[in-house]
Amino acid sequence: MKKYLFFRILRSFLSIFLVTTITYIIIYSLIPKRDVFSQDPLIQKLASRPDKLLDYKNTAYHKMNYLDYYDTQTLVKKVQKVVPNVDVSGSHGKKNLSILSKWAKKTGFKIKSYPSSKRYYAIRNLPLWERLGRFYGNLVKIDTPWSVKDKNNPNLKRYLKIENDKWVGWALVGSGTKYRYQIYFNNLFPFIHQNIIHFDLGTSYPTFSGTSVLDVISGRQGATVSEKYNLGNGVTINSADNVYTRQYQSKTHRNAFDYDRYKDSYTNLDQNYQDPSMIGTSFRAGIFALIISYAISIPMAFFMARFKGKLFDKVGTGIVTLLIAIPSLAFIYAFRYIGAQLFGLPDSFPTQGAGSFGSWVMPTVILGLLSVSGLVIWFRRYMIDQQQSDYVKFARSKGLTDNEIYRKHIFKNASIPIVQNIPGMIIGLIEGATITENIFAMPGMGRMLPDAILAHNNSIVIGLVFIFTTIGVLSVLLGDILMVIVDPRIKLSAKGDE
Amino acid sequence: MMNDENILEVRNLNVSFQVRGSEIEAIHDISLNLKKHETLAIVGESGSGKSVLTKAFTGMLEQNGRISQGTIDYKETRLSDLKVNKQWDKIRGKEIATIFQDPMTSLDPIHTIGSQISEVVVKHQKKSKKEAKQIAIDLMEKTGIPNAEKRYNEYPFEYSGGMRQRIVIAIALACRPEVLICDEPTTALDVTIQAQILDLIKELQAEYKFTIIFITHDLGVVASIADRIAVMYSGKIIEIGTCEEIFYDSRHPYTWSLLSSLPQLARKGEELKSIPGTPPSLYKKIIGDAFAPRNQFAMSVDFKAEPPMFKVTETHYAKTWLLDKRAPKIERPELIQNLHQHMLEMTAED
Ligand SMILES: Nc1ncnc2c1ncn2[C@@H]1O[C@H](COP(=O)(O)OP(=O)(O)O)[C@@H](O)[C@H]1O
Ligand SMILES: [Mg+2]
Repeated sequence: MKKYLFFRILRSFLSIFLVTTITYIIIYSLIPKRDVFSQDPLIQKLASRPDKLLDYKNTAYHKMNYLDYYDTQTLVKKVQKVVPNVDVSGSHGKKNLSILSKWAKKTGFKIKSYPSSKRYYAIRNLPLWERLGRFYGNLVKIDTPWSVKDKNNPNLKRYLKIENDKWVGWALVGSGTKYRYQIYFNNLFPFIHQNIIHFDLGTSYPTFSGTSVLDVISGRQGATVSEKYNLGNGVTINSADNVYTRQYQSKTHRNAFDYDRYKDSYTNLDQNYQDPSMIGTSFRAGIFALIISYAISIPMAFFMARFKGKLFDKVGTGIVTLLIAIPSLAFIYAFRYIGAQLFGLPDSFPTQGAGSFGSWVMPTVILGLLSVSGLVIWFRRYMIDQQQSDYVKFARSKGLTDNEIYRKHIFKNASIPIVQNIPGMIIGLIEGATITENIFAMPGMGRMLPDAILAHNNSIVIGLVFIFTTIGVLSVLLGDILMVIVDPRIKLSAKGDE
Repeated sequence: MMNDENILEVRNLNVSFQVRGSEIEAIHDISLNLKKHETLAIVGESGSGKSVLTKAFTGMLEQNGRISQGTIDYKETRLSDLKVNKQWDKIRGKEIATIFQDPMTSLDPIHTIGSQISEVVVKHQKKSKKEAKQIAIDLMEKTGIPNAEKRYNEYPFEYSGGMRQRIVIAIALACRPEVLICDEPTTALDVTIQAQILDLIKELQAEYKFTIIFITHDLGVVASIADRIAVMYSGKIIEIGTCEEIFYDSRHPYTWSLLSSLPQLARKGEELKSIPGTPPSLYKKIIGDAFAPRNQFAMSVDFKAEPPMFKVTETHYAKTWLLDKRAPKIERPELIQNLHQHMLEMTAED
């Protein structure tokens, strides 16, 4: 069992790696990189200033990991470290060129000059494997008391301690770490949180320029909100600071106000925002939709199979057929109209915002209903197959009543694949929510992938592929583990081959 | 009114199925008495209607099937009048239990063996769960499961085919039925296990005194277990008699063919005899004797008129024109003439 699980998890990681790598390769080698600028208005504006244009483009490529690029200033600074007598102006003297070329030869760069000023710059195309290496190399960041390297702060203490912090209560507190609070608790699901392991999926560009990809996907959104912090001794503070995110900040960047408040070097922090992140929004909608769709389709399919061919089955089949026949777009609009007119529910998410229950009702109910038909058909079919199985025939021949047979045998057997399927359904619902999210203007991640593709935001595309694959693979794994729990055959047979 | 000796009486039974708009008849005009405590074997090629006939006894015909004519009486109950499952719930299990061919699939895969037995004990013997467990373990021991106490909590996949069939039998016994229908209970098992299961059924019958209908397509299997044998062909009983009568004095050419193809009769180096041709399709209307096209002794009348049941003895009947006074005298095939001898030799060898 353990061995099986180990290899299973290993394979899961391998598939995540493969999918992400293949996506990476496709994006970086098959899509021409100049496409990045196809919708960039600045390109037109810079047309008359070739140096600026070149700089702009190369900077962008650099940010997107296509190449390494040093403009004149950066270049000479770099070279100066090795060859102090380099011409700092970066001008196009012969002598200077030879120095720069020598440096370039060693480092793999190419020295070029700008078209009009003729000053030098350096450029190096990144081979694919190196780009990939950087991506995976930076993927996981583990925070330790030696993470912070600040020459201006030689006295920084380095430790990990469990203490009752006045801001966050009991927590694993670090110093010398990047994050102040390594492990902490609060009232947000899943109640225990950590800052030890962080993922870095690169930096978003050109949309959400400069923000880390993960922050774009999982950072909270909306307006900032203040929270009341009780600091003991009757002192309370109202602040929008998200103290859980406190990170190390060097003296040169820190502001006096924050330093005064926190009294340590961990003054770089995020704000509290009122709305869940894009992924959080979609995830919430997905879970609620899942509950709704199962709550409807399981009893419905159960009774349809139970009374197969009778009135209930016929009506049910009619409803399911109708649900399938109506294009989902028409269904969504019709439902939205009815909900808005009859029940006064908001027909757009931002009207009342993520904080209002009403905003969630229609999108989640619609999302749930959209998957009802598929589930009912599948589950009814499964129950009917069970009905015709030999063990049910035998159960009947030994005198069990229909009710007993359904309750004790058929339903239990049929629930195994359902349980297994649940985790997969959630991701399906998140990914399939694009239309619903669009129509209700929900700030979820359904629209993110198409938007990112259109904007040539490679980092976000790869980040999303990575996240979706990870969730997908892990949910299949979770589904299988759940099945092991409910199905004795699998649990025991796996034990048997240990 | 039913004869006291009988527990089940079938009169002129027809069973038909609705198939794509047309009606096919799988059982045609069958009359049959089942005597208390006897073992009646029903033999015939697969597709001859053995299962359909017995399914009609427990109301387990598929949705598209129905009794189109005739009656079935069980004790005081006219089974052929029962309509809904609720009425059948009183008959199935407690009065007539059935065990099926495939022990691998007859048990619910995700419930423990024990719970599947005690479930029935609780229901039919009205015992508490705790008592039921003990009764179930006793039954498991009785049906030859070693280590019953421990194996009570195991799942079907942990049991071999033979063991599962023992459990199936234990479950059927837990119902305390009057009639046990065994629908090819040993077909899916290998030969040694087959013999063990047959012995088990015989032993249990001696102890619990139930009546058995034993279905098989293998005449060899029934020799050791049956009191009487009914031979079915194409939805009809074509010969019925005591075990002796069928084995040593059979009259129907189809029974002869079945006997000739007994594997026990195959001589070394010779091919096993099999019956040429295939049974008629149910979709075609049959004129005359259904077996005629495959019958080497067929007479012209066989293709024109269906033969009636001729009485051979008080207990022996056969449905063939060969028994008509006008028919020529025909010798049984030489191979099965001294069957007695063969059977004796065989048992001696064992
Ligand atoms: N539900 C059904 N619908 C149509 N035909 C059926 C059905 N059940 C059985 N039959 C037909 O009835 C005949 C007898 O079947 P069965 O009793 O199962 O044979 P066997 O003697 O092998 O047990 C077969 O030709 C079979 O095709
Ligand atoms: Mg059969």
